[in-house]
Amino acid sequence: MSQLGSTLIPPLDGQATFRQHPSGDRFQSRAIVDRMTFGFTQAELALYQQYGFEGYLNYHLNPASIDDSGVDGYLATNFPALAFTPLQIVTSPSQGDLINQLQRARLYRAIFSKRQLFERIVECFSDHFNIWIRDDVAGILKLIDDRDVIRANAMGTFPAMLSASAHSPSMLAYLNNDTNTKNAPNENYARELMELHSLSVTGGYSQSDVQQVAKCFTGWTYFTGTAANAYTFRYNSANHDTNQKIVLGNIIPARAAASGQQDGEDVLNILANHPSTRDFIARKLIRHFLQHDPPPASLVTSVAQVYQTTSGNIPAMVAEILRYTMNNPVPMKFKRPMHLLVSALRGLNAQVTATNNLQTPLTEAGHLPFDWNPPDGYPDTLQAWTDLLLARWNFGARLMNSSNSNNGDWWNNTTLTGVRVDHTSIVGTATAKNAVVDAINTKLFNGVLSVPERNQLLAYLPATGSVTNIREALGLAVSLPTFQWY
Amino acid sequence: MSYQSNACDEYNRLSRRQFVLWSGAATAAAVTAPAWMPRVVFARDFTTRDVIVSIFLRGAADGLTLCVPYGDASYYVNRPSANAATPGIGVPPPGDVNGCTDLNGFFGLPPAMAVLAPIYTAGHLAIVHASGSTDSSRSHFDAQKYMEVGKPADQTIFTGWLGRHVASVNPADPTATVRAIGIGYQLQLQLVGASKGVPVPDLSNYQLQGSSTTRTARQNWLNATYAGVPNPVKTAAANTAATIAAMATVGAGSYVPPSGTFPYPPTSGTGASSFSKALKQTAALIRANIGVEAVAIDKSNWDTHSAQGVVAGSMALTMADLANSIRAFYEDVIINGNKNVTIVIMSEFGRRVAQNASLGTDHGHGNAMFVIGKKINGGQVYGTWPGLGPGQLYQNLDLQVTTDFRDILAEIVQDRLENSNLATVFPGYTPTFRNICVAG
Repeated sequence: MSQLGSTLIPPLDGQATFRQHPSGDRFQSRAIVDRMTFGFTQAELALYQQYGFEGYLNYHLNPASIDDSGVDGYLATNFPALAFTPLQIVTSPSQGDLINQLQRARLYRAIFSKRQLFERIVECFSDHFNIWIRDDVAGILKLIDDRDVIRANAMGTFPAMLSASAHSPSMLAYLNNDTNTKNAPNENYARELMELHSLSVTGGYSQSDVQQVAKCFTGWTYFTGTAANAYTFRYNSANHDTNQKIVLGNIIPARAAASGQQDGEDVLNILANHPSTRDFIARKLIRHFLQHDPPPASLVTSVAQVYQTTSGNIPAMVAEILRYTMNNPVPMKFKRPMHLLVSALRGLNAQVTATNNLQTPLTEAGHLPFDWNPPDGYPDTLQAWTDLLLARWNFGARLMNSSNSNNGDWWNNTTLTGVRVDHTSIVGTATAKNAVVDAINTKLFNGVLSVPERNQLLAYLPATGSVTNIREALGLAVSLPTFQWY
Repeated sequence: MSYQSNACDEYNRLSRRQFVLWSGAATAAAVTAPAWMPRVVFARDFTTRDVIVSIFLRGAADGLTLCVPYGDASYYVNRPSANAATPGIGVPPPGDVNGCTDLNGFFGLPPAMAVLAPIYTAGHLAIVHASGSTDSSRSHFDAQKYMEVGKPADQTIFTGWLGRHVASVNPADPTATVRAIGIGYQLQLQLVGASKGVPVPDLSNYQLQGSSTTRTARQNWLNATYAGVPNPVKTAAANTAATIAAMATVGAGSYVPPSGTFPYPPTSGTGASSFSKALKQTAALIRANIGVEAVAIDKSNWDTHSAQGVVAGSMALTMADLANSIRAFYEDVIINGNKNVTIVIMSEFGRRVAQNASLGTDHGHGNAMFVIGKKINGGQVYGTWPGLGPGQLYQNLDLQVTTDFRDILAEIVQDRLENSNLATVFPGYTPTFRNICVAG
């Protein structure tokens, strides 16, 4: 099995010895499609081959130009809460249904949206500005935050997203700024704003800065009640501390309560233009799109420079990172569970006829969208995700459990219906084991499977595979080590 | 005011304990030390080593509520009593409505934790107050990291103190295929580095799905396929396969505690407690006697910046779940079980002494640790009480740390877990033992 090992050298966080993908067109095209999307598909490969790297990148950098009407229509029909007002959400009789709608929509978009790079950016910033969806009012208003903060700004600038987040009732409630008043400031939002959203924990702020920033944001809350503006941003001047503050050495002047909202706006400007923020966002994007820590120092510098010259344009920073993959040794990254599940469904041309069971495999893997309790977001480290292999194997194991029809439910289990794979869309009419494995290798892996992995698949199949055999081989294929990495 | 426990002889039993270092003994055992490990002396095979259950309260649990210093008048200055005309978040003193249960004339347990008082009285619960990490960080994530790796402010350590403990002793059971379990989806950082350590979200549901007809063949296929990949995935795959087999023998899903013992909070249905479930499954695991030596469990929901609710409300509910689950586990396993078990409960830092306007508390510093076991010198609140008055606070805000958490953990590691490789478990630190453990 030594050859298998040679193609799969994982980086170890903090003590990394990175190995690159083997060179060659098939490896490179698979790697590029895998990085631009939630998983390699033949359709995306065709786009890449048609447009070339820059054209393909440009295609994905302009999601508004991509016709995604099929997905948009499905979402509008099946997940009406995505278009709700804040008041509609808070007063909905079934909060659990709203949570399901957002989680299922998230997965549906990741699997089927043609705006794949956009969805990958959304994934990154959903963790960066994490909100736990089960956190009462704060959590349920994540439906608004997802739409108006994350998705609305994903192709815009980071400062705009930071500002939108700071004005988001969901975030203000999640981090208790809704109760931050001049009498005894609540530091929670102020601290996480600097630690997690902008400067980073090593970004150069002090406990005094936390207290001063908390005072700047006194009175930032949201309206309650039943008027049209309920659960939208509110600056409540009565609760604002009007004294002068000093934040990171900058004087925030004493202001009349009526104009005190400007304190917080000043802080957001200071943070968005701080070199520590540029560095932190550069590192986060590189970690998300390229590789486990530590990142290439030169790339951190160049992405931070792009931040500086473009006022934090997110697509421009992402493009800088993706271009790096074209011109430099490409390291491998371990897929997080949602990424793995989505990439398996994409690679296998899965049909989703009902979304109500899409969450189950991710519940078992501990990676349900928006279900991370603390504000730091799901980890994006190798350490966090390599140990629970069983949940990953079970993605494929459930696929194998469906036996006898071409369009049988992926999960042949009465509680896990609605996801279907037609194995002939991968292997055609082939039944001879070599032909089956060749088709899997080509369609799912762009032909890059190592000899030992290919031999393993062959070993599982009889000379002529039954439908069950073939479907099981497909399930095992997405459990292969190579499928865990991108 | 200074509260002195009888533990203040502060003598370091490191030297006294030298006689148990059977240097060189048992090193012939087939144990391969990881490359990162410094010179390690494998002590003799202590098959009587305690099982340790390490519980981390994530989000900075408020130690001034978990163990109330009602005898410090400044406590109620900073936190008016919940019974005051304008109610604050101070837990009322013993005797008052919703008052705490007195422990020693100075500290008390809040009503939601009163079920732990009998454990204290039995001498099996020790509390270490004004304890924690000396690191100044008020970041949850940095503070948890430093505490779990066992060294403040060190960004270069990627293994946990408990993981290094497991890795630096011979298995208590040489046939064990799983030695450490973190209940959850990710292995807790404190357990990272353990030999044969795995995260298990649910001990009663840890098996390869799919057709039972082909399950063995598929598992064998996965084992063979993953045998050829590099670490850490290769080891994770081997541990996964071993754990699947081991969990099938535990029967955690059908476990019934001894009759008459304190009931676990509901582990299924409406209002189910995942913490209770984790402890109950751990009880089954320990009783199954398959050689698991260390279990890590998390309990969250402690980040009480607003509406803390110390008597009724958010924190009271969280505390009640914690305390009722612990009491059930104590009666189940520590009193009626077949193995000696030590429980340690800690959190990344305490909370601000003064309440905020949201009737919550912001991030603080010093905290309280709880240690439970038959071989713990319990019935005492350990530590030097630094006071909560003006001039007594850390950075004029928070409870000072007068006992480094590593002093407590190191003593447990050496005396209850029979591992003398303290320089491996807590690198760069010379602990001061507090006589919290019964040795041997």
